[in-house]
Amino acid sequence: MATIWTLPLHAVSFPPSICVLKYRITSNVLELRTGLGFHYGYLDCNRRRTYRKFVRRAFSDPGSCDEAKRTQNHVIVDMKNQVGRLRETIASLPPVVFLMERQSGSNFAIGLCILATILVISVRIYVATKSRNSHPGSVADLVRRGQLRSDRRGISTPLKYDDPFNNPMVKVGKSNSTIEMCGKVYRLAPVTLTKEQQAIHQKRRSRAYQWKRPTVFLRDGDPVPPDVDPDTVRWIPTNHPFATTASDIDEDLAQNNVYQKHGVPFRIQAEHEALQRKLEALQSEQKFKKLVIDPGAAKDFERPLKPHPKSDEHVEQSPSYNHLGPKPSKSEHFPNSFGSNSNSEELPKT
Amino acid sequence: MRKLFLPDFNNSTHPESTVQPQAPARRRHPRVVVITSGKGGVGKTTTTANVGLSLAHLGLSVVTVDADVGLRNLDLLLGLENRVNYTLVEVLNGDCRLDQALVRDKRWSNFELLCISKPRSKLPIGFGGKALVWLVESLKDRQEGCPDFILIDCPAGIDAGFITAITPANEAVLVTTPDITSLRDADRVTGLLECDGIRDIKMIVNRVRTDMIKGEDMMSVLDVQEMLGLALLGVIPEDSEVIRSTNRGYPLVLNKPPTLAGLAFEQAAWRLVEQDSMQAVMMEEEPKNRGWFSFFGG
Repeated sequence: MATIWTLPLHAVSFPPSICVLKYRITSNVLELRTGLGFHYGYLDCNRRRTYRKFVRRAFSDPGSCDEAKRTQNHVIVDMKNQVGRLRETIASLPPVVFLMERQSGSNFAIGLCILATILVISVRIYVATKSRNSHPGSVADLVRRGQLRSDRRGISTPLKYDDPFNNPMVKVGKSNSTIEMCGKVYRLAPVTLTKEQQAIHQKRRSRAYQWKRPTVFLRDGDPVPPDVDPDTVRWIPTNHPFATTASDIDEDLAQNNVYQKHGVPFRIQAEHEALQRKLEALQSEQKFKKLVIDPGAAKDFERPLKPHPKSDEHVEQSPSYNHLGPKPSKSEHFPNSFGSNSNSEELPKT
Repeated sequence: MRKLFLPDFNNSTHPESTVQPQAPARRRHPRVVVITSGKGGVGKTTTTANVGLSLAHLGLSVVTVDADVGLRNLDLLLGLENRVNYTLVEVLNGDCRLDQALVRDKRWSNFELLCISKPRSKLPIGFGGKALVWLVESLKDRQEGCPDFILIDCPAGIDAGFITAITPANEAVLVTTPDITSLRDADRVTGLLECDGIRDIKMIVNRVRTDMIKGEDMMSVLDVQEMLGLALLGVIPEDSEVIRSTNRGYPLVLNKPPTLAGLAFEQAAWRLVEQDSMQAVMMEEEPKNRGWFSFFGG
């Protein structure tokens, strides 16, 4: 289908007589040839076919020559009328090309303005999207992935202080009844609370809420001290998750710990000293264990033994005595056991 | 209305207040502020982290204490969880000194964190309050100088943990959300704080949604203030950036450009320094007038 843009070009470049359907009417055949390779939408093909058939039928009758002539003339007239109508239609179409050629300068400006508008809008949308997405929300992703330490989140350089009341984001309206903050306009209304109303509320609350700070904390079953105001007693439930015995904490020590400014903290120092003492004790114990008894030197302290069969048996029957615990020196052990046995033996004799 | 919204520098009670933020001279007595709520999950830990960093941003020396004995979270929000080796329990037991238990943030050298205990360690009931008092006394005369602020992140509830956390405090920041359950608990906690002698109590209303307030599905900040009768330190709008910052360990106030909630935290921190409170609150969102170039995003 020919478009409006192409139609006038053809109308300009070719004479109108050519821009019509060409009919070649022969004696028995009606040829329909479309000129210039385009079709007119309003020329219905079906209509052409029926017309062809009609003409063929009309011409095929050899008997009625006059009638055929009349019909032929009629056909020619109809065709001329149609061609004329076609020409009128073409002529009535606005010569857009001529208009475009005449006003090409202003059209260029209009197109340029439209382009500029689209460009500005797209740039604004892009900047707004970028500023919206430029929050350091991605920092959290970096922290989660372990690429950024969470203690260094946020900005690294301190921000310059902006007075919130001289901030350009805060604009008070000319009539002083509106204020614009962050691009939004709000209506202002004065506060109506007076000092008298505040005092009335304070009195109301003092009547409604009677409370004293608890100073004595007791567990279930503890007696209430006689000189204590019962309103200041607080009972600690036994199943309280954070209840600990107050006597476990030395208050003076805790206070000193809070006030300490220099040096090693108390518990760390205490643990260190305890560890030190334990180490020293271990070292002294090891030294003590390393002491070795010289058998040769021990013999000098031994008493001469009297050979006695029963004493020998007593000595043999208690072999474990020598193996238990720290071995006492032989000079201490044998005289005692031997002495007692000898006494017991000697007594019956006498 | 501008004056109502912005802090009144002229009438501020803070002696070192100036138009430009400057670090005040080191004080001998730190301001011990406990951040509590009663109800859990309203944003105490988030508030502690962001307000603490905002104060450090202002040049003040800050020590934050995570006073939750059993469940520790503040180190996660600050991104310092891998650097906590010692806690206050180890200091009490004499396993380390106090300066060894303090974790200094590498981004800001004037910001330090101290956790009370590791998850499985125990602290005697009734002893924790004394320990915190000793801690504050010890920090006053340390070599690096007395900190300007000690922020204590209080655990949820009104049990032993709450009593421990409020012991050394002389100021309180009450964090609440605009729902009825949170308000009731906040009122109770305020009563207990006043019974314990803490009178300087300011409120931060967290997770505010102006669209729901407009549709009357949520109480307005003024309604909350009317019910509790407390001065407003800050109003923090609902912001999805809070969840992102929690998971990243990158507090909200460090975002550039700042988010709405981050700006609100910074403003609350400045009001805390100036001992000031909000005089006007943001109500509903108005449609912005779009100009000719709004099509281009202008």
